Amino acid sequence: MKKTNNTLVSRLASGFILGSLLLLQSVAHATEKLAGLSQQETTKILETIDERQTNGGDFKGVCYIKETEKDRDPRILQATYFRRDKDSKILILISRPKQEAGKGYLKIEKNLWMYDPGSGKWERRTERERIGGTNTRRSDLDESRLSKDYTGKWLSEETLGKYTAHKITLTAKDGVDVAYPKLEILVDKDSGNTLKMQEFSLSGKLMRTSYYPQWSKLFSKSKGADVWVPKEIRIIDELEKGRSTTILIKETDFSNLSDSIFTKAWVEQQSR
Amino acid sequence: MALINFENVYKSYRLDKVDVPALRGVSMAVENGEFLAVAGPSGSGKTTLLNLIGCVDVATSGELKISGENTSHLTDKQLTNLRLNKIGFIFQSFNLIPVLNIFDNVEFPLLLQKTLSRKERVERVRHYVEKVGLLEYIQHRPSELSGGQRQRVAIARALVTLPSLVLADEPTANLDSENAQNIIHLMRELNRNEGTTFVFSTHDHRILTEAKRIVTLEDGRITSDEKR
Amino acid sequence: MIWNLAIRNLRAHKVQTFVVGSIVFFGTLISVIGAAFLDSVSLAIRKSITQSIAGDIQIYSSKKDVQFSVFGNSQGGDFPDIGQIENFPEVKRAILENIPNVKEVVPQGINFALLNPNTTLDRLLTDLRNHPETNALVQADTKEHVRTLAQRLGATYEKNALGFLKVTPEELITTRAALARATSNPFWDQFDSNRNDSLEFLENKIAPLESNDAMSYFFYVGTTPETMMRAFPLIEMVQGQPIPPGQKGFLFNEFVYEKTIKHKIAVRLDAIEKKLHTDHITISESKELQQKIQENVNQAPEFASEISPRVSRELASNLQNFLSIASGTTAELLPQFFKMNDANFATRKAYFYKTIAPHIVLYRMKVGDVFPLTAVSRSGSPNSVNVKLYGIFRFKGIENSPVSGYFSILDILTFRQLYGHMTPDRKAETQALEAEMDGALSAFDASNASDLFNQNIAVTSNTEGTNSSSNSSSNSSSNKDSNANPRSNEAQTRAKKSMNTKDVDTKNYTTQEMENGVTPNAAIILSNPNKLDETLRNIRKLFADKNWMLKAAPWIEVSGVLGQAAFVIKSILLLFMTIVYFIGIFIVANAVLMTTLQRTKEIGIMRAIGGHRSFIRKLILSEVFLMSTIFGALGVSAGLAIVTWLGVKGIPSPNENLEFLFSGPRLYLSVSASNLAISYGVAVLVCLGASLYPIRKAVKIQPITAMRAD
Repeated sequence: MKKTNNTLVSRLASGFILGSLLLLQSVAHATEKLAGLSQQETTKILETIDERQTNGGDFKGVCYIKETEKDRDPRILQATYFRRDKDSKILILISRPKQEAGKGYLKIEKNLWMYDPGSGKWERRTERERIGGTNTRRSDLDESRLSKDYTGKWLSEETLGKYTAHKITLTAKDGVDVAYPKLEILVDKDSGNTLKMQEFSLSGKLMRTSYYPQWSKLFSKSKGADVWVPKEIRIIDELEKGRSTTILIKETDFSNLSDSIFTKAWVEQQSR
Repeated sequence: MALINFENVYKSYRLDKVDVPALRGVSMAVENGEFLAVAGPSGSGKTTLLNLIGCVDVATSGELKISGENTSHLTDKQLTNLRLNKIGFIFQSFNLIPVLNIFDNVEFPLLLQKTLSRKERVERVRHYVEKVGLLEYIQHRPSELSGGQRQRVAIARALVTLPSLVLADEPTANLDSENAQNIIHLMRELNRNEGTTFVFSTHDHRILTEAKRIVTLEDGRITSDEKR
Repeated sequence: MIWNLAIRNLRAHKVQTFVVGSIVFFGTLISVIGAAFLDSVSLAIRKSITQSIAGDIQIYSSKKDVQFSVFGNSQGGDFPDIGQIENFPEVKRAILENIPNVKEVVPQGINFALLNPNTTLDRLLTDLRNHPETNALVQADTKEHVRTLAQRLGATYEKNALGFLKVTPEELITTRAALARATSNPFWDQFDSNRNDSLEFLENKIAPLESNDAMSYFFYVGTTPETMMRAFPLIEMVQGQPIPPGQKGFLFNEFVYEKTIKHKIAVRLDAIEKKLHTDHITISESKELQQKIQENVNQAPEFASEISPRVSRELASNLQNFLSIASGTTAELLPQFFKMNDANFATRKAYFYKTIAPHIVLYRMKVGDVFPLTAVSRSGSPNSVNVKLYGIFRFKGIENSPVSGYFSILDILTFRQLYGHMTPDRKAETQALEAEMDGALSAFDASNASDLFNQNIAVTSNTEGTNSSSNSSSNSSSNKDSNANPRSNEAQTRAKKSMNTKDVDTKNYTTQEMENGVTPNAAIILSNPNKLDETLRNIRKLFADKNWMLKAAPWIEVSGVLGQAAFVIKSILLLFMTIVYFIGIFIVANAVLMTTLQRTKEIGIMRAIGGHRSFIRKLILSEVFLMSTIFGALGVSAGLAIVTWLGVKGIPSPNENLEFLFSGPRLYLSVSASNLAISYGVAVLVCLGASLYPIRKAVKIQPITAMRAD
């Protein structure tokens, strides 16, 4: 009799324990779901953004940069840009107007160089350089490196008009030099594209807000998949009211580029 | 018309919220050319009486007329002019201007009058300074003179404007006999020759002897009015 | 008689006389000195401003509604777009022909230049890149220098990576590998044959490791140099020569040249020496000087790496001798060398300049050099033009002032290249570009951004861009492209050679050619500055008659903070004087009142004898008048004497920044006759005014008070 009672009790006990554990686990799982995306998932989203905008090989494109300011005439630049994401190189070569033609911004890994044909000299620049004096930063035309340069944290899910988006905040990783150390992006749940990006200074001051009203989706043979390139970027200056920059990217070309393009010598030659 | 006419004149002073009456209903008249002494114990109101006549003070009630004019109706300017031109005042405490020498002190009223030329002033001043016997001290300062000498200077100053009325408060108080006599003689002379009216306040019997009328004051009231 | 009495009274009442007299004396004295300061500082400020850059009158366009200041707005940094003087040559001629009293009309344009910091490695690598033709020995030195620097950078990197520098593990590995390569024999053996690639490697992997100074900047006035130097007599050449007439060129202001262009260690040594001489202090007494010395010591290791290894080796024994130390490398000895004190400062400074400085870059640009001048254009983008440094100048007398000190002189043609004014051509080009853009843009409205999300965001697929993977077709669009083959290397070398001769424009330009172009503003110098208001009126009338949209402003209105400072200083001094006078009135009134009350009996006597109130009034007024005029005259004379003495001796400026106000290191006082007269007159009036109250009391004194016993 005693034996049977013991077994029953122990069975009941273990059943009870197991049951509670299962219950706890499911509760935890449910709460986790309610808490939104995990770190892993968030990072995946960023990696996807980066990956979709990366080509396996090279990039070349023509872009127009228009800057409008209150009480001033608009300024427009036309430039050709060359990218080699594999080596982390980019060249932005300004072609119009005449006064700015021949000026170039050459980035090789972490070094940003600026060339002025007026003096024939190269100067080292920082990440905070304004391209051609506009509010455009090098990063606007370069590869997307959100997952490489930043650590993301999922904040919430937001509705933006017709779109449902993930709101993610990004903080620059240690030792990484970027123009804006803090970002907040809204990523479309469906397409995975960035709908809106807000860029902050280290002190948390909102500096720029960017929108992407048009996208290009192009097939890249070297990649064997589609590459997403923003066709139109609108950057609103949050410091100077009334100031905004429009970038229009055309004629994107994925064919291989010559290695010599990403050299100082080549840039200098373009203005001869 | 009397030169001076008191009609029921009262004068009180306010001292620590108490009214101290100095004159209680004085009525009297002084004619031109009189040589009058006001006698009485100290505190009887002699000085007050003289002050009223001299227009340095105003009656509390009653009427005081000088040459028919009610002094309480006169402006400060008019009063001052009276004091300057018509009245000569010899104070109880000589009251010379210490920074000026004898000559300048005596000359002072003449300068205020502005009627004489420099030459005439010098002459007049020297005349009276001599008359009081202080010519040799004419350049000295009052601080360098004795009490009696200062008194004499004050007298000279009072007379220098040829006033028609001279008020003298104890003029001989600090003088020795000789000087006192001289002063009194001088005054009698002026009274006789010029017709200058003299009103004294005094205890000095020498003056009282010379006086032609003695008014006695006691406790602010006239107790006797003796004519000789 | 009153005067007599008054004088006697004053002499009798010595205390009153003394008190009031002293007040009047010191009051007028202070007033005269104050007026002198006022006069002198006003003159000094005026001189500092008008004779350095501004001129007496500035003219500029009235189309733009901006506050223009020659020295920039808000702390001297902001130069808003002020448009331009349209058809400057005609305006200049009209003014010179029609307005009397105008001596010069000088075209001007003010902008600021950026000075990008230059590290040693950058300099050396640029040298190797741009001058492959230099003699092999020199090149070998440079290469050794680069290699040694790389070694040093490697050591610092290791230290920093463990400490404050945040690096990812991958980065640590790659950087270490790069450093190892840069200091290895194989690398340097192949350098010449793979020059381009090797240089790119060094520039991008090694050079960034060297730390950088911050960017600095200075201002310049674009002008016709000949006219500018003639019109501003304070400009004095210190080195080199003025820009030859008709030539393009640059002149550095000594102030910025010696403080910003010169090597920091030398700047510190100069500053120490200056302080020792002018302030007569010693290093041991001064924390500031000790700090400077310490900064030099701290910079010594970095400094050592600026010296090429060969020179370093040669210098070592010389240094050892000098310091009387038996052994040690230059790098080891330099920190000790820079640890200077009062005993050895002079000799060490001399040694530095004689023996060490010739082997470093003492001045980034030397007189005679052609260097790139980088400025921010009107459109916001930086522009560079190569310009020749002809010489160094300073503004005589105000050479230490940081206000005018940051202004250098540039020819107006180069100025225009850098200014980037919107020309009609450029405007047309911009409009064409805009039209091209607009065709392809969406309807996005920045003021209503979130509206974007109420529609579908457009995605274009495969309608643009070629997708071929062949080289040739894509490369056809960039026809100047060159492949990585030896022949193209030659082309590149040739290109580099011709770049070296990318010199300045040495063409000679006529004044007409120089004046005919964008001219933002102009300075007008007058023959007689005192007639400024009249001349200003005439100029404004001329502009109105000719219907020109131009503004003419006097120097004080276009000097920004400084002009205001002049006004503020004047106001402060006036306020100070007013306070002095108020205090004076108060004391005088009291002193006179006290004496008056003391003389109550006396005044009573005078009243009793027949003195009118008006007499008493006049008497006291006369006394006060006498005191004030006599002591006032004494005070004015004493004040004048002091001012004259200081006028010769000069008051040293307590602070270098104030030298602008002093128009030099010393302020030489002077005072105008009218100010003297005013000080005197006001003092007398003040005293008379002060006596009004005591007089009121005095005339109230009754004659009866005379009757009171003493």
